[in-house]
Amino acid sequence: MAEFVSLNKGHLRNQFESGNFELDNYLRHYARQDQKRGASQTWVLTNPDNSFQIEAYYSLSAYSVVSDQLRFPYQAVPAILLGRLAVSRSSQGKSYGRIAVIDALLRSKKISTEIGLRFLLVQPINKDLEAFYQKLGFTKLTDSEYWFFDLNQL
Amino acid sequence: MTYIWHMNDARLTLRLSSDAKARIERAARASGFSSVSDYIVSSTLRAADEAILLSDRLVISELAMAALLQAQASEPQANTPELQAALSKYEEFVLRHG
Repeated sequence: MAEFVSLNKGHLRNQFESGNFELDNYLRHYARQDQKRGASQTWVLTNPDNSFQIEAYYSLSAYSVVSDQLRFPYQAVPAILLGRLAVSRSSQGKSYGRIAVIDALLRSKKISTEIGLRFLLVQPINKDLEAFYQKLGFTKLTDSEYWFFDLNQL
Repeated sequence: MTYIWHMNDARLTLRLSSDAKARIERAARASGFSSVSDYIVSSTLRAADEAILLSDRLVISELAMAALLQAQASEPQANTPELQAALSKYEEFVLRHG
């Protein structure tokens, strides 16, 4: 069964190339470190013919959203951050990005029912990605670069 | 000494000592980076990510917080047609590659 699995040391991180230096570099050098210290979790989709070859990945981390104003001094909204998402060059054009987002949403939904939170956040890096997330039901957070998805929708 | 690197559409300029530059170049080689610029960007972004991630907090404006609390107090919206289609395709994908 095709599924995203937790990144492990057997995965060929150094061979992953999406064309985005920062996203490739993160997977190659830092994703495992972040997993070990509990800062974020990276999920990878591997090639059906080679379970070590990464075709796409995304990372999730837990966040507490707080206001910079005193009006909400004790108010913190728990959320999950979809921090990074990338598809390898060889798999681009196969809707793997969309599949990765859905996997992240469903995984977050499961977490939300277990620990109690409602939002998944993303920070799209360009207008095309904003449109992509908007079509999937994300809402731009007023006065912010973040977009949120209400997990109660699912 | 002025050291300049650029990437994509933005540029960052800073000044540092010759010794510091030499150490950075040495570290870049030792870390397996073929480009000093890539090493600097990588290391700096790492430090930035650490500072942000380790705080485990996302600080937003009062206006943004009001919007988020409003959404939290509201009933969820219906799924968009695109989300519904994407959920169906996801199920197909998982089964097809089984």
